[in-house]
Amino acid sequence: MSGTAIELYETAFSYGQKPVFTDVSGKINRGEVVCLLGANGCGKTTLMKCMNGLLTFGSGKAFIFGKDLYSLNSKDLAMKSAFVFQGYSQVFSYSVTDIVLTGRGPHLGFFSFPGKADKQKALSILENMHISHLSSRYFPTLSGGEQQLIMIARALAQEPSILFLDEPASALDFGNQQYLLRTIKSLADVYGITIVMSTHYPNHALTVADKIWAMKDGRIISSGSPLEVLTEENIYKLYKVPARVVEVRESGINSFAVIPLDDTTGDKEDYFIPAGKGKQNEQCKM
Amino acid sequence: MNNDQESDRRFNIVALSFGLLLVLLFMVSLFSGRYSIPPGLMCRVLLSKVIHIDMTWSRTVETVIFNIRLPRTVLAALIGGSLAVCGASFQGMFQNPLVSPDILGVTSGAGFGAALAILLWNQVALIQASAFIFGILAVFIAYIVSRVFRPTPTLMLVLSGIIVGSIFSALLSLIKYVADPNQKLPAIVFWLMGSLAGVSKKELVTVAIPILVGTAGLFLVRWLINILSMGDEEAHSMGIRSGSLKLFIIVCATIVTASSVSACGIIGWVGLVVPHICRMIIGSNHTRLIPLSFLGGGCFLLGVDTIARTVISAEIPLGILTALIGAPFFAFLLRKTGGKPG
Repeated sequence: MSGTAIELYETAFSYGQKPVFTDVSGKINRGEVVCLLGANGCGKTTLMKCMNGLLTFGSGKAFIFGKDLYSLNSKDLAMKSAFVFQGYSQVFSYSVTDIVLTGRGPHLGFFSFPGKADKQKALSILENMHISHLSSRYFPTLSGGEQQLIMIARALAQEPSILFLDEPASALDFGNQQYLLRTIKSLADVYGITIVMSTHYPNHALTVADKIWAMKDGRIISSGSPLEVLTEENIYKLYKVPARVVEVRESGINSFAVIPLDDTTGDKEDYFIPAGKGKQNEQCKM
Repeated sequence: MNNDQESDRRFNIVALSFGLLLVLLFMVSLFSGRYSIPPGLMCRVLLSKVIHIDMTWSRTVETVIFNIRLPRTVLAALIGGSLAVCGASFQGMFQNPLVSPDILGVTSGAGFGAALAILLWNQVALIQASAFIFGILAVFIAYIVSRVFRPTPTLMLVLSGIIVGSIFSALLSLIKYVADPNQKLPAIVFWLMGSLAGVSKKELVTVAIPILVGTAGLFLVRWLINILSMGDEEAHSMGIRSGSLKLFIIVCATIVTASSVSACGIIGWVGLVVPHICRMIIGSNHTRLIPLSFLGGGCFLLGVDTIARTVISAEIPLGILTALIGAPFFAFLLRKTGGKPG
């Protein structure tokens, strides 16, 4: 399992006149975990949606396993790459099995229905993820972490070679975050699935990523291995937060973490002060 | 796995009981009516079409059964069932449980078409044709209008349906306003309230066939409606071209609704409430919901139509009864289950 999964050459996208990202180029190898880092609105989600064919690049060239992205129809593409969305509006309450089964969509024809084999596949995915006990529960009755796992299970039911995850850990507690990251890591290591995920947590990128793409104002300002990209200078560029990258050695394994520092240089007016309180203070002074 | 089989079993039991109820109501409906026919005689007359039985009954009996009562009973079940299927499909497609089959203006268009034909010609065949054509036309316009705006088609479809619907409602009011208040106006008003009194053997062909075709189409894509109900973007990411699937569903549902409105006027409430009731019983999975809605809708309209033609000596319009019976029943179910499935 080697070779390139995704290649981008000078791609760009804009909503009308407003450019979202420009001049994005890069290669992602098979089985790699790539994290997209950057502030809110820097274009991470849009870039991933373009790579998955949900949105169309405005310019540039994109290849999936050596094939032009736009030579593939939506069905072929959905068998190669799956997308786990951030948040989901479920109007109707389906059972977990029914939801995971919808991931078989790309493998079935217009008038066909999932059969025994599809059902078996869905259940074995749940089993591999150690969540088969949820199979008959109704989706809205699950916790946020469980729901996120089910959405990943549905994406896996598409049997993709590439998995896009949009902020997969954003709604999870500390323990579930670690569990999710381990799951992602093993999808890449054990099944050879290429993972592209956006995240707001530099520490998550340090934990799972093989490569990081750091995005700012619609451009990739740095890409490479986590420690190459996550320098103190880059972190400040991305988030305007001074930070240190620290190393923790435990049982012979080195772990890295980004620790934000108390901001002594920042302009205090940037911070949130309730308007009412401010006024009261002024009145007190008077 | 166990629980999955459990819900399959549950569906089989519920579907079987709905089916038995439908057969029972079918019998009751056949036997009841102003021209009384004993059950034994009824069975013999029906069987005589399959096996040879000496004709010991009058021609009138045969006419009543084959030209009036049987077509009406069959159509009541078919129209009720297929309207419920349209409702369930649209609710899934629009991701909104408050949607009914007339969301795209089909009934307003058909109502206008029928009223126009009553005003101009007052012939049954022309009224049906006009209602059907204007029903299709209304949805076609709504669809074209929604295509003008590209980005959010589902919301645009609803809005353009409302726009087209209100235009045709206004035109309908105009026709009512100019119609002769002694003859034409009552005919229009009564037609709009819906009734199966006018159907005969002929409608079994002209109406039942398009309804069956449209309903069969919806049955075939019912699993895909699950995917569609999760939103356009998610459907797209799973390789479903939601545009063509939506168009297919709209075409099928419009054929069904326009045909049924042309045969029996506007029958509200079935398409909205029957899918809800079924969803409470077996959940949202459209693979199960749509067949069950068909059986449930059939039971509902067959029952209501039987009441409509037997309770008092005159016919009660269906539109009145579907709401008067359906609404309290729905309220009762909501209170009992809290609106949750299972």
